[in-house]
Amino acid sequence: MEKTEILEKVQEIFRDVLDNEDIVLNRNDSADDIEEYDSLSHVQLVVAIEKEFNIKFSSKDILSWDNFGEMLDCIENYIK
Amino acid sequence: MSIYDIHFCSFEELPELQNFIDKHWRKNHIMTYSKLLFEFQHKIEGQDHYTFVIAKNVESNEIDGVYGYIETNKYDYTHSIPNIGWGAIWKVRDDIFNKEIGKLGLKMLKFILKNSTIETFAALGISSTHKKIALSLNFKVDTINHYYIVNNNLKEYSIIVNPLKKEITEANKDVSIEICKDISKFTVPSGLNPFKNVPYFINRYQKHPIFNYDFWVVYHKDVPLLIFSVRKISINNSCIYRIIDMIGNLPSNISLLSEIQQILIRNNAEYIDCLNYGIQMEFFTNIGFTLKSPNGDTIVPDHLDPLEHKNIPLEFDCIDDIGLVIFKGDGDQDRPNKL
Repeated sequence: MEKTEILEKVQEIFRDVLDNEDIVLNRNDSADDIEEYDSLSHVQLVVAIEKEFNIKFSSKDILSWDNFGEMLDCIENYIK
Repeated sequence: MSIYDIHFCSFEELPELQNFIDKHWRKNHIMTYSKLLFEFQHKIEGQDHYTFVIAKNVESNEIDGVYGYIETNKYDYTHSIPNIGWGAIWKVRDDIFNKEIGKLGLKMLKFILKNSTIETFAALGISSTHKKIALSLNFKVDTINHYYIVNNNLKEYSIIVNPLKKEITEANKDVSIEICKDISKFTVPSGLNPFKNVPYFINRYQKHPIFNYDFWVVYHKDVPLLIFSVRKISINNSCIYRIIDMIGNLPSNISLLSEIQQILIRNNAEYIDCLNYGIQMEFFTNIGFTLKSPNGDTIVPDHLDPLEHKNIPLEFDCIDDIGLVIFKGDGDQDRPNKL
């Protein structure tokens, strides 16, 4: 799967979970840049991403992400 | 640019932190007025800050979130056991709104992981909200087992409900239990609990500034093999013993049922219990304990101060599945609620 395809799918999940069609994911952005993102929506996002890509993140993966680019790279590594 | 300055709480900021706990966590919480207990848990010799992270809003200059934790290395000067960070108070203000407040809890946790020397992070006695977040982060989440031995000689019980009495086995002449206050002369290896050692027991329990712990040293053929850290808890006119922690091991066919029963009878205690995760159930059942069924008729209260006649599952989470061995003494689960 291409990087852009992963980005588009994750962006769609964010829009769906956070109920905001205007969300545009940029690799250098982080949770701080999305107003609706909080600890509880994080629960739904992780579950939805894992389900979409049929993967399971480790705790250390999740806690190591400083921006969306790192999260997208992590997904890419799992589905290689 | 974030509006939050996340940093370790300096000694000078303690009054501000205590004020936050009092206002946003719990009124008259013991951590707000007992500096002695606070520093017993959160001050590490040689460090210029407490093991408490605060998130200060640079616009209002107020604390909007705190995350306290306890390092096991604090109590082990040998640094020969894994340094686990045990979560304590974790609170973000729920009376204000800004675009960063919802992420503050997670940010403080990430700060701890990046800026401390802990090997992993765990929390015991987690709330339902905490559990949801832990599951979303793919932490290991599980329930602690609760074991007990009831005093067969009592006719009435006021703390335990519907106790299941166990037939006493014949005393084993090779086994004895010595109850003492000072274990500094012992060299019992960690055994089944590689996360603790004797120095940890001395600093965490023997030198506790408020609670009094006894040590039940189990001898087999005159060799000390096992140490229980035990606290006697009195409620009205009754009392119980609670095993708060354990190090060591015993040969597999040794029962302590008769010896423990004698101690319970001598002291008129209703029962002894032990909350544990990580040690095989067979170890506890072999030495004489019964595993409490969460849905059974027997109620062995989890909460004793104040007493609640309920079986309430005690849950924990841990970032890594490292085969953690957990007892009630971990985190801030066994500390006084008030002075």
